Amino acid sequence: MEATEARTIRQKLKTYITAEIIKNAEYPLRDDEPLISGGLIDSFSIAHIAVFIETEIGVRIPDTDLTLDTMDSIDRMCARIAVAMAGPEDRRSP
Amino acid sequence: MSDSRVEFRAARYRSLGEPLLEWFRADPERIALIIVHDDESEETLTVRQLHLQACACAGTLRENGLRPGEIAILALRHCRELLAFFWGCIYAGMVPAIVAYKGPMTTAAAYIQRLKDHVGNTGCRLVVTLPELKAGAEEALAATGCRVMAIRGGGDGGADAPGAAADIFSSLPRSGGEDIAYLQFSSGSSGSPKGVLLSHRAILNQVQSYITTIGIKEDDKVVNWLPLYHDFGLFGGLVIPLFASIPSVLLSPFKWLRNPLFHLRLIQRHAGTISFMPNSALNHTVRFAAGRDLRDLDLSSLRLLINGSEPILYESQQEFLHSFARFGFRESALASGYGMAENTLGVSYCAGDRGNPVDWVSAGTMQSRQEALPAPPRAEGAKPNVSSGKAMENMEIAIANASGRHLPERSIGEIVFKSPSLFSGYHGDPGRTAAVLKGGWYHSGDLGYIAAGHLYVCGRKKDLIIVGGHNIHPEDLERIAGGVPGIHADRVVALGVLDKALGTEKIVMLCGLEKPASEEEQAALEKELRQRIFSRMEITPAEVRFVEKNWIERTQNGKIARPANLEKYEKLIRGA
Repeated sequence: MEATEARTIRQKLKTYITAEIIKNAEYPLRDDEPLISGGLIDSFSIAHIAVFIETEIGVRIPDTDLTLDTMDSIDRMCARIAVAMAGPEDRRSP
Repeated sequence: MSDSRVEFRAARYRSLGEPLLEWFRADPERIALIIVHDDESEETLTVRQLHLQACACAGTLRENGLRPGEIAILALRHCRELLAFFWGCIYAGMVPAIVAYKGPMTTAAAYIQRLKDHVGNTGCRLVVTLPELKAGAEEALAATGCRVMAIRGGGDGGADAPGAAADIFSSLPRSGGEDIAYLQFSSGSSGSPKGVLLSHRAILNQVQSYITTIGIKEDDKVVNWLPLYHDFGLFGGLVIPLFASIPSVLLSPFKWLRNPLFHLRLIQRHAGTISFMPNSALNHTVRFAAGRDLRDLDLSSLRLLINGSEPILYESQQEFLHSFARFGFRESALASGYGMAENTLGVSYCAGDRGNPVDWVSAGTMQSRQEALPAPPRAEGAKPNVSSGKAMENMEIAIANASGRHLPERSIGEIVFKSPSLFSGYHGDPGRTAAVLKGGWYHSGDLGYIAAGHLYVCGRKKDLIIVGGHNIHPEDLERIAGGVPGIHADRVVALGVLDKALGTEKIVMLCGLEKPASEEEQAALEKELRQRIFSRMEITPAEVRFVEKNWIERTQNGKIARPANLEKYEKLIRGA
């Protein structure tokens, strides 16, 4: 993945999470800030972030991978997205 | 589909073991349960397999020293073993209590602390869990005398277990069914979860009322994702289908949460006819489905989608109908109910050709006169209330004022009811039991009115927040906040504020500061508070707001006045 593309993805995610999930676009979210274990976003939101990643970034993260390890911060999400972009995987349902 | 209705007569049985045993003897090769794993693979269990596995588990429980009448906490994820151990306890006369397994978003330490709270509150003798938690749980429970047993629980354990103890039924309750069959934790969190004790008799009576009222047919098939640690999931998704001799497809709540459309796909794949969704689940599904390709989705097999366990919103139902009608979802499938763990499951229910009735009333008179007066649909100031149905078979509902007098139709008051499936009491808390059971009437703490025999729920007298069907006690949140240095321990209020976009309540916390704090200090306090709440209760407040300590309203005797603070908060929001 190109560095600029990675930066764009990171920014898109951050904008979406602060504006739509935390509902405070001004929130100074750090890339390593724990989102779920830090009590910032609830587990319902994880499903919606996954949909956002799929529709806006074009990467599908299998729902069995939507865990604390892959989703607890912007850094972790970006790492998982990079893995998905590096090699094709398709365990689709719906 | 066949129109033959299932008949279930509770009086024929004295224990929950008997109806299952009867089905096993009559038709052992019928499919009872289809367990859907998170990787979407399926595992089918015939009645014979379920029965034999339950027998084997009953034997294992005995070998672990558990005696009839003693409590076993089942802390297992969605798997065959959970079902087998539940029925194993029932067969051997032990009292199972299912608790949520550690979620993918929780740490083992936080989860084990919660297990410890549950054990401490119930005097439980045995925890059945998975190997990954065994050592930690043993260490935490060492002083309590409660044993920990680990099972493999990946669905790969011994298939038929023919060595089942032959004398297993000798300990089935013979008393007439008043023995305790199940312990239901009615709120998933906190240092003092309410343990609702249910007798065999109460559960059998509920099953009869439910099967008869809903009109379950011999060809019905249930598809359920609701967790089995919740009364709706356990009785609606497991016990009632088994006693009605109809198959049930069981999906894990985590899988559903991360992909609610998979639930709809399962209904299609299995031609499911009955399923359940609390109100917020309708919103989650609609929001998740938006913009996705659903072309070949077919929901025409579904005849009842029962909405319950949290307030039912007209808007949520309409949006669901609007989103899925083109995929064969029928308006007549919109069914609704009202119930609570203290009555095993349901109290009222309805469904109709045009879905459940909607009562348009004047919002103004509801507030000012405590009366729900009819108003023209969609008129200015009119509010749609969705019916929660009529009293289920053998139950009686009334609306009572503060002194317990029953009120006429359309007057708003406390919902009270009489029922043969009421609980035996709260575990170890006769005072709390006596406070809600008066003269044979259960006082729900919910507010509502009756119109044309239909119950409409419209508020709450008791302090309780319901998020996604889960009951949360505000005191638990307030206690945690009060423990954060910088937040005033006696000046914190947790509120449930209805969020129509989510279709459920959201948690708003107003925290009085011990001394004025800068924005940075407040941000740090908020982080600390959120992290503590999540680690202890696995829930997330929607909003945390800091206020000057005297902002928080208290009653004359110094208690937090939640209604007054809610009103003050709503004014603040409107003013913003």
